[in-house]
Amino acid sequence: MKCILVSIAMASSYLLVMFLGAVTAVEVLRPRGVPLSKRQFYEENRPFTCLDGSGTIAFDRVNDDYCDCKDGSDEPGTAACPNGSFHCTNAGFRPGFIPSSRINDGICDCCDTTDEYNSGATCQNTCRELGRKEKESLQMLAEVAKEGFLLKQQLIHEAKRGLDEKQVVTELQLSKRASEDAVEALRLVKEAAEKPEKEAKDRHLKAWEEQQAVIRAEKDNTKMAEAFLRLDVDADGLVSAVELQAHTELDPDADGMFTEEEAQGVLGGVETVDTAAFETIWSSIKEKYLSEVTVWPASDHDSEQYPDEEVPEEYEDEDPDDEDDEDQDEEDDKVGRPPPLSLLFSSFFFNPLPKVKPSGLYSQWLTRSVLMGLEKEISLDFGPSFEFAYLYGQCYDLTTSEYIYRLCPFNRVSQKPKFGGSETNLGSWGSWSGSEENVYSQKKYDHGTGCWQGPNRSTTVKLTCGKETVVMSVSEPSRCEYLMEFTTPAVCQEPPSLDANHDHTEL
Amino acid sequence: MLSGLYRSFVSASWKKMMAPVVMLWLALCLSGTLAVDRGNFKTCDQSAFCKRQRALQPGQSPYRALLDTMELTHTKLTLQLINDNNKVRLLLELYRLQGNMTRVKINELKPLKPRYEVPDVLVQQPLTEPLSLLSQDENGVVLSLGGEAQRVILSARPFRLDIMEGHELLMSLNSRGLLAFEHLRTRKDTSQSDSEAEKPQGTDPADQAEQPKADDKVEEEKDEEGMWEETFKSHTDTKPNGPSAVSLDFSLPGVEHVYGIPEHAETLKLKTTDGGDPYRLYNLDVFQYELFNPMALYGAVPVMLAHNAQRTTGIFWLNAAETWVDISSNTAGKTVFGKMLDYVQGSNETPQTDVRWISESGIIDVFIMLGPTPYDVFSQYASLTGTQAFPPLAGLAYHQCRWNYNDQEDVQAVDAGFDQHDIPYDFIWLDIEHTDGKRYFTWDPHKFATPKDMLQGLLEKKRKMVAIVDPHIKIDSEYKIHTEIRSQGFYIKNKDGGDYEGWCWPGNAGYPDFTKPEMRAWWASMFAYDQYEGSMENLYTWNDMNEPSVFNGPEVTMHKDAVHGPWEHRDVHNLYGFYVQAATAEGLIQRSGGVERPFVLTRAFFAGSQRYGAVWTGDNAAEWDHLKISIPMCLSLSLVGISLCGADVGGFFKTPNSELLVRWYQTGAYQPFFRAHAHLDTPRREPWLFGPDNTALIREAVRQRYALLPYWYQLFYHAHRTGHPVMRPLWVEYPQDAATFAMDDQFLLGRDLLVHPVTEEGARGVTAYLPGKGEVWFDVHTFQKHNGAQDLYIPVTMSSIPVFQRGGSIIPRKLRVRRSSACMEHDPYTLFVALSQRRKAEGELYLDDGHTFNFDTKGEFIHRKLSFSNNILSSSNLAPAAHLSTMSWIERILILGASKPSKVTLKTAGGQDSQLEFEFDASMSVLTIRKPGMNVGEDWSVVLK
Repeated sequence: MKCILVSIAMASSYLLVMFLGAVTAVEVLRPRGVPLSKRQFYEENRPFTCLDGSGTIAFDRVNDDYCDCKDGSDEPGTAACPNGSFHCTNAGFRPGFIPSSRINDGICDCCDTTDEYNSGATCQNTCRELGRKEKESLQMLAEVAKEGFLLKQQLIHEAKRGLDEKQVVTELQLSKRASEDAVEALRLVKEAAEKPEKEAKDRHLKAWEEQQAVIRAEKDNTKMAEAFLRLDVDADGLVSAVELQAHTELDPDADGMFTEEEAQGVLGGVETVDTAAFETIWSSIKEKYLSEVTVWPASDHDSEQYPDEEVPEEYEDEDPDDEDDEDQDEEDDKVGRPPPLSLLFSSFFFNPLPKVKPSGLYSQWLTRSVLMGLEKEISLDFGPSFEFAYLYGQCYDLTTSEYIYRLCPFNRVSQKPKFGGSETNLGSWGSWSGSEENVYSQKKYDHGTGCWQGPNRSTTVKLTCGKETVVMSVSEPSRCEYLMEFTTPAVCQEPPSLDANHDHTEL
Repeated sequence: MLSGLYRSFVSASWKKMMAPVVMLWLALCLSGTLAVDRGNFKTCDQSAFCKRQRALQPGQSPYRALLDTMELTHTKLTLQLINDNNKVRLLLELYRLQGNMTRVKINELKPLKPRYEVPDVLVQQPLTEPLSLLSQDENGVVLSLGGEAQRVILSARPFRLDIMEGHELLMSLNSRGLLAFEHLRTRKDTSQSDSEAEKPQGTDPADQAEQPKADDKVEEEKDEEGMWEETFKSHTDTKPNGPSAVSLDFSLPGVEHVYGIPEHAETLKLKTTDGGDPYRLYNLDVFQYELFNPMALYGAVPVMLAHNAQRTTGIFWLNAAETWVDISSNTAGKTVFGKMLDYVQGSNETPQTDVRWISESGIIDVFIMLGPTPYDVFSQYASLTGTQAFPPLAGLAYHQCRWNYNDQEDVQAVDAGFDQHDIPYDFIWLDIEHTDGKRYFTWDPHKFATPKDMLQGLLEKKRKMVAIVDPHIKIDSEYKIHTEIRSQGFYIKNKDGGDYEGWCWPGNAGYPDFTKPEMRAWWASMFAYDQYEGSMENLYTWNDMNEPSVFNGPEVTMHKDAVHGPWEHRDVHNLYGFYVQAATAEGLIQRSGGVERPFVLTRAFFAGSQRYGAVWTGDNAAEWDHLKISIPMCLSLSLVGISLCGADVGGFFKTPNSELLVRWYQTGAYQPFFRAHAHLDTPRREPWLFGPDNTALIREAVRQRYALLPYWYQLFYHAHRTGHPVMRPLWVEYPQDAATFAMDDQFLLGRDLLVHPVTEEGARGVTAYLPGKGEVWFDVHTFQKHNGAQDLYIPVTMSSIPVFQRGGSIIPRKLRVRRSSACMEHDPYTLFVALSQRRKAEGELYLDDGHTFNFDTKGEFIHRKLSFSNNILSSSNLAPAAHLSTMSWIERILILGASKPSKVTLKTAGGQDSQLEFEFDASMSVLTIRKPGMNVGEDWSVVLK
């Protein structure tokens, strides 16, 4: 049975994908819209089986502008299937998929213009430009991250020193001797604290593991991208066999003669690969690949281990004699793993107690105050390495055309009219509220001043890595729900560069 | 958007608004309720003329026809009526209009000054047909209304009109003797107050119902309270013209169902008003309106339809002043059992509905539309006030609105959100906060600094924007719009001759006099691209607050003694919003040199507003009952010509839970104007904010809408050509099926789709009524066939939108749903052919460029008739004179209720026959014909063998 011709001019259902490298040209024939990784399913002149196995059709029904497969897989290059997707190669930038409904809709979606082959839309190929921009911005981000991360280490270091200097223990001992009442109160606090402590511990462990997994994946991706950039000597967006030959460590038989054929073999039998294809071969070469400049530290993985040691339990070991040791332990524990919960008593350490010897009533009062402070602080979570502690007690302002916004981390957010008028509470410190992968990327302040017929005001603060601690912007996407963007070194991730090694040795 | 008082507070709190408004808010706030503050709005008792008129007793009409004054020309009959109590004479004019209508006009014979006659609503001077005199005696005359053995019997004493067809009485006027015409008079000065003094204080006006008097005695007319001045909640209405109300009653024998007279938050079938207030027609900005009551809302269309199994008629009361409508019925109190008892016992009381219209000023000008079918009434009314404006295709797609999208970045992010979640939309809307200090036609310099960049960004995605332009103008000598209006004297004046000023969003504001043609022309010119800075061709307009809303005015609107040239605001009130939208639509037409169709949404409206764009049901709330009432509210509007109607999806006030939001999207997707909107104080509710499952449900609802756009477009083309409604109550299509007469939880789109949205919280199933004995209906999702004339229980899940296609119909869809309707322009069609029991089906397919007047001015469109019979599906040209070339083709044909053919052949004009591939699903009897491929503009047939 033969279909009559569709009245719209259908372009060929094939796409001759041309990779025009500087040295060689490779032609990969595959139906339009099919990613390289799936080309083996689309073999010309063989019946095509829908990728979900729901049916088999003649190959000339692939990309014939009629949807035959329930999963849309027979029309990767047309808009015929409501659930299909189209692969843009985007040479020079990242490859990607778009919903097939965006094929020939007159709007340029793929930077390589391949989605608009029959709509009359005039699209410019912007992939190189996008690639360049992305690279630049990644570099810039990396630089910020690098410097930010150094700052973060300092913050962590300072936090640690703060602990050393303040000799909290002495004060605590004093206070304990001061009153039986206080001890009793402490015991109560301890009991109250145990539960959240356990929960906090579990949460930290989970968050930590997830975070490490993400970081590992990111690192690997970055390594891969970096490797690609380094290998791609002529910067044409393609790694060629010739370029690969310079890396003799990748010689499969390690005979000292890394031939072009061997190099092609490594590339999966082709002359050149783009980023997408490189992705597929990366896993086979990454162990061998040596960057000229980067030596990945052997200790890299060590830092990702969650420490097995128990979280210090200073409250349980209330016995004053133990406290010195414990304090000592803390210092050792602090770096490169989640926060020992003792560190949650931060402000206590940062706000030294009066150096008078308390006696009698004063002592009782003091103890109570300390306990109240502790009780408050016990709920504060200053981050895996205590890196957010420096924000405590600080405030950061942003002035807009109408208002002055003030963020006092771990305390509250407020808004004050620029030209007089009373202050409005936009929320008090609630909790970290980032995604499961990174709970410290966002925090929530809630229970602010109520809105008539609306909710109480609340503010979400999004934290991004920056060298400086600044409120970048404030908006009110929904009435009485504010969104604040805040940069701080404390969220900077360890940049995957040669500095990694250095950081580790320093710590 | 929203009602004045509350919004004024919001404005105040953020923008340092003025003390009086804050005080108003405080007053409101202290009332401490979320429902309407009824005390802000008048009851009939608080409206002096309504109270006066309602006190009249039936059966005591003082009016007598003076038969010797009768003049009959070939176009009309004129005759004087005399009020025997005061000897004031009225002039009756009676016209027979083409298309089976009768017009009755009554004015004072010699009014002290002219009384207002509503201009600009009728599309033309109605065409008349000759009347002829059949008989005459001292009791009256009988006139022939032409064909169909229709007669008017004019009785002289008391004056009364009866319209007959054969032996059947269709309608009577003044049969209860409630005709009243308060003649204009000079105010008595204090010396004449003696007669008042004689009267005991606090006399009930009912006691003064005038008794028939001896012929020559002229009764001394007494001034009653509220005739010359009236105070409501500290607002005094000085009434320099004194009493001027008009009233007339209509009896509808055999009628138990009346509809229309929107806008009310009310069931489709109107209720009797005995013991309560009449339905009120007075355009008002009602804050958090209540459901199921006769209170006035934002718009007014003084048209009522009456229906029984034999006939549909209509009454169009052309009066723009405050109007009240009383409905009573002799069967209203009876239970079904009681009615049966009547029947069994042979009670010969015919059911009858009596209606009475009362207006504060103007004249009596009433059009009696005699049907006899519902479609005849629609055509008759359309011949008077015009048909629905044919909206641009995008106007029928999905609209995303919120008070407010905060700035350009916000707009961009929402736009990107739709793409990210693969949900189509065509329009994003900006509410009042986009302006520079509520100065319309301007942009906030910080938040919307580069509007053209923003619009260009939308244009590149083939999307559009609507920005609000309200009719209250900030009084600010630096504001060009204000200074021009003031210098040209275009503002409405207060009673003392100065410019009327009231409080609204911008604070102190003036209100342009849109009743002036010059003002409207100037306003239209302000939409020119070089006048409206930052505007582009993909920017359209929304007119809100055009009742007009005046925060510090009586009943949140304008003082009735404000002055529009020779007329009082009292006379023109219900027309104001009509004019605002008309002038705005004209502006959008003019800016494109008359090429592009406008899209203008209005909140206030009047008869004829359908000619200018879309209407929505105002500030509803996120409640299940508000979702339910969106159906009767839009059906009532549809019946009186306004097809492009919608309710805020999600509900404006309050916050919907995800179930309500999803159900509302599912309902809105099948209502004409499909826009989500939300109050400033509610949390964001873009479709992807409720988790992936709800996002998917909303996406599916919106996609169903987009797939069905060809059908929607065709229905609106049809509505534009004929005046037939798009969204229809079932009784319109099944006029003899009494089970449908009060049905308003389901509706039809055109003839062929029946929609029964799920509007109950936690619903496990709905019971839909599938009408039509001998008909079949196909579930559009499963293709399951069901018989007509049955209540069908349909189990539902959250993804269910019960929709059925009538067997015997053909519906075109575009199944390649893209990110906006414009992106789908060249896409192919899938035809859904649902066979009737007799294996026949018919349908249409209409397309044009989707946005210009070229369909009209240049005949650039394709209109095909699709029909299936004798196993042949064919496409023939309904408009051979029209022309349009299109790339769209037919990609698929589904025949529901088919049997399996052995061969399917396509025949095209001049082409060779070709065999088509097909699949047959025996379980549902669905035949799918694969890729026939013909261009939709061609003649073709597909033969099943």
